[in-house]
Amino acid sequence: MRNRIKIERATLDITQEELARKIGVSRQTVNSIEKNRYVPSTVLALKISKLFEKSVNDIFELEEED
Amino acid sequence: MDKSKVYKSEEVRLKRLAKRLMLPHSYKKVGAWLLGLSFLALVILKINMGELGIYRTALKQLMLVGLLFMAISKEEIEDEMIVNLRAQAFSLSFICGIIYALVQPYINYGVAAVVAPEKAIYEEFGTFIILWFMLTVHLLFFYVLKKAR
Repeated sequence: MRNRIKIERATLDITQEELARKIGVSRQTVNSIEKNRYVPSTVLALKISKLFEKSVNDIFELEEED
Repeated sequence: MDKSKVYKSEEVRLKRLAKRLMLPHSYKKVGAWLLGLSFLALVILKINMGELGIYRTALKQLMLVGLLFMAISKEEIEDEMIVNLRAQAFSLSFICGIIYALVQPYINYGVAAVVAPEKAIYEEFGTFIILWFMLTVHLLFFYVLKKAR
């Protein structure tokens, strides 16, 4: 699953650390999500989309192998 | 009573229990100290006293308690990914523990049969060895999974 978190984060000009604090996870978790090493739960995905004021589908996108 | 209600209430109870079983992050250090000190005491007593009897068993059990504390204490930030990684490490160590307990005695027996056939006997592992193996494998897998994320 691809995601646009890094781009959205750059748009809002916030660091991984700040994003992590806002959604209640560790910076390592944000890093793993950004690098597609970890797929977040629905709750976390919704928290992220709420923070960026976009729909979940605008941030997360399925790949062919998913 | 409706079966689905029973399942639901059991699920809630089990989830609550799983949450309560986790110790605060500070217990990681407590566990490490307990493990280190009991190991040290075991070595010192062995050197000075030779046969330790009940003390040996008690100290070995304390080492297991130390490992358990380390295994079930929370991380500084306990988020969903950590919970996920811990679950993976627990399931891997559980499977490895069972395979180890079932297969290793045969390997030991086979090796002994080749090296010293007259002394070769089939011996199953005791509780301590299996628990020690499972807990250390869990900690190792958890550490590796955390580093690889």
